[in-house]
Amino acid sequence: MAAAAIGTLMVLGSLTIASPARADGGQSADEGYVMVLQALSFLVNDPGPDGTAQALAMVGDALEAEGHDGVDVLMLEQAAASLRAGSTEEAQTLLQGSISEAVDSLEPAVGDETGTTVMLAPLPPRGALSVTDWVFLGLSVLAAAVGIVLAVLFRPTESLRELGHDISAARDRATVASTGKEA
Amino acid sequence: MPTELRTSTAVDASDSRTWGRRALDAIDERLGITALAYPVPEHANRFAWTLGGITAISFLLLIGSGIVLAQFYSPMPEDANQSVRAIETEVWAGSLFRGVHFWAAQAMYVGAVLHMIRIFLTGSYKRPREGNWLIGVAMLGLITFALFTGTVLKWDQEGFEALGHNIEIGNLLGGLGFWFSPEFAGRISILLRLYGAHVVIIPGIILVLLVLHLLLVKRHRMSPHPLLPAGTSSEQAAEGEPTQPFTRHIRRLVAFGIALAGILGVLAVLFPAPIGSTPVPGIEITKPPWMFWWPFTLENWFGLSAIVWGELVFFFLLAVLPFVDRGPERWWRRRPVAMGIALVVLAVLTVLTILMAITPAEVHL
Repeated sequence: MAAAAIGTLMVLGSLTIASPARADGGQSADEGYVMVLQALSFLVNDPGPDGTAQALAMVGDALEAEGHDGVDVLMLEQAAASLRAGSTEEAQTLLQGSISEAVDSLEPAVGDETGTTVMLAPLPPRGALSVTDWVFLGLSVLAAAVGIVLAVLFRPTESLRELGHDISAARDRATVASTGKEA
Repeated sequence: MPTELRTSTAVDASDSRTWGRRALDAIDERLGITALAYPVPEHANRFAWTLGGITAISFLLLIGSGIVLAQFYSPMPEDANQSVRAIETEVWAGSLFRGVHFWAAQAMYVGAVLHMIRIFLTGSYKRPREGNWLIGVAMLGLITFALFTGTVLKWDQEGFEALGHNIEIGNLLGGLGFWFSPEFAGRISILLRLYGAHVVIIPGIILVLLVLHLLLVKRHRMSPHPLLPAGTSSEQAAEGEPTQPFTRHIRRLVAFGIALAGILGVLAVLFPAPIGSTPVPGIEITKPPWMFWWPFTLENWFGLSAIVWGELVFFFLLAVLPFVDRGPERWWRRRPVAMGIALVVLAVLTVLTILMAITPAEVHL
């Protein structure tokens, strides 16, 4: 009922009072430091040639952007050179350094602002299992096994077919008893 | 002396019950636990009929692991991603608790969907259980919303892109999408509001609906199995079907719950929950979690509004089902029209999901 009501309201709302979608969030995507963060994001998410090319294009856009507030253009140019030379790690350091003034002056994030000041790469997969991991894994396997054994032990004793026969037999007995009484 | 007191004293004097039994009876007298021992038809102890209970157990595991995670998670945008990393790397067993939470969320989603498929196949949503079906549909919507908010909370690129889509959908809905607008409460981060929704509003509503769901199951009784002889009314199991107390049903559920907890623990260790890069606005380089793939394929084809229309059509079909399929037949083989439509819907969802799996991320916003 709730889902249907919400759904109806959403349809009516979309038909009656729709407003044009915004192209960007609270942080303007055309600000210089945001473009540098975008370049960094491309790099940390795909350190290969594709990511480097996307990052380089974004650094180019950042260099051509009108707003360079808080962005060290010289470092940005050095980062672009590093990217062209294939030194992605050096480029990351330079890119992060180039926006240090901009991110230092950021207010606490509100609305849909990200609050991102440092670009962190995706957390790498965990390495070898620790002692805690092994203990937890062992207990989990034990729990899974115990649970399955208990589920089998507590399973219904009769198959569906047998259950059907029981119900029919009970019904027949009831009919006979009722007929007997009536007789 | 009042009659009741005299009777009580007389009983105490000749009471042969053990100390433990007396204690349990005393608790029951005050809390009415034996009310749970209402009769449940034997067929309801089969695995397919316990999927709802398994979904509820996933919910309990989510609450437990979520309480642990909430001690270490920071819902401030500047710190949210780092706090999740700290849970993974610095908090003792934090990665394991987060892994259990991550996998339990998916278990709950899968459990709810399988439970609804079972109900569909056995026609259990038919009279007088239409209202309870709608409660279930509402809970599925809330589970989906909880998965969305949980994705956003890790505040990585994937979560932020999911949020971006939702904000745009909110804008598309005009005034009705106000809650998803960052301007609705412009002085605080929308992350904080979504955190509140994830840890209080959504689980709270799910809990209320779950209680209603269970009370209605008790009131209407377990639906009959379509392959067994029906009772005098086709809406109830036959009077001759053996029954067991609901507490026995719970006993089997607990067994499944222990197994589920173990399986989730294994998954948490071997396949830990991921955390992506810190978020940046204006780019789209990730895909949403798999349960959102089908509407995102629609978005690739028809634009953002297709997500809204796709979800609306899906939930509309679910909601109207018991009011359209009103025939007396319950077994799926005897309902070719309903089954045909369901198979078409299932095929469309599967194809859309697979297409997203093999399509690279696209820029939409």
